[in-house]
Amino acid sequence: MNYYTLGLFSGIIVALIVLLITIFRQKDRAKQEFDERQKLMRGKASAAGMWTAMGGCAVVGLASVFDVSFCPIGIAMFLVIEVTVMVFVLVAIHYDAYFGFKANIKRQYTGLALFFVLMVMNVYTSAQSNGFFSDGKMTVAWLHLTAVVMYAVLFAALFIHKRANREEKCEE
Amino acid sequence: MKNLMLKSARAAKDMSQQALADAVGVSRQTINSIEKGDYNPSIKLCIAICKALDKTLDELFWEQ
Repeated sequence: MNYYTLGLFSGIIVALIVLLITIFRQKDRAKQEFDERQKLMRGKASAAGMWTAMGGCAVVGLASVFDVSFCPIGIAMFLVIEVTVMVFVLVAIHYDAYFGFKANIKRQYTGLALFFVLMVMNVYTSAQSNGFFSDGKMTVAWLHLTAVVMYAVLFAALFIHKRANREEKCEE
Repeated sequence: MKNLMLKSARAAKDMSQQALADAVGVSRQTINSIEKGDYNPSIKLCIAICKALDKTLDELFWEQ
């Protein structure tokens, strides 16, 4: 078994464990995590994400039709998914619908920070092994780099929004 | 349109937005959005707010 297969299997196992924990925790959690306005705003955020995904797929499709290729189609599609998730998160943060109103924000921040560090490590290792370009095309390192940028934008948005909320509370 | 009736009823009870939000089980931002007139709450939430502030629906949500 080579390192690639080992990495792939460990990744799948970790993903399955995270999925199972998430499912069990959701069952245990109080029945209402988001209030009615937040649910509505999350719907808005999902719609924005859906339009972004459709736009991204159209761009990838057109690029493929006209034989314009900056990267393998698999990487392009994952980039679209990352941008879609970022749009959803940003719109949800804008409307205060990203964290549930009963959520332990401190723990959520710690989790996000942990993922950010893991992503930075991913960028480093994939850039070391594959580089950022191979045969003039973008490699998988760009996916990790996009994820790091996404997390940085997310943290910035959370910080700005938290400040705005604090000012709003003072005006109250 | 701003809901000043809700804001003044809350202030009369000496409650912060957070205290009212906790009492009715929503986020502070939701109460703020209702007061600013950015969000129309469901009848269920309106009733919960009225009960928390000891007011009737007319007193808080009926525009004069």
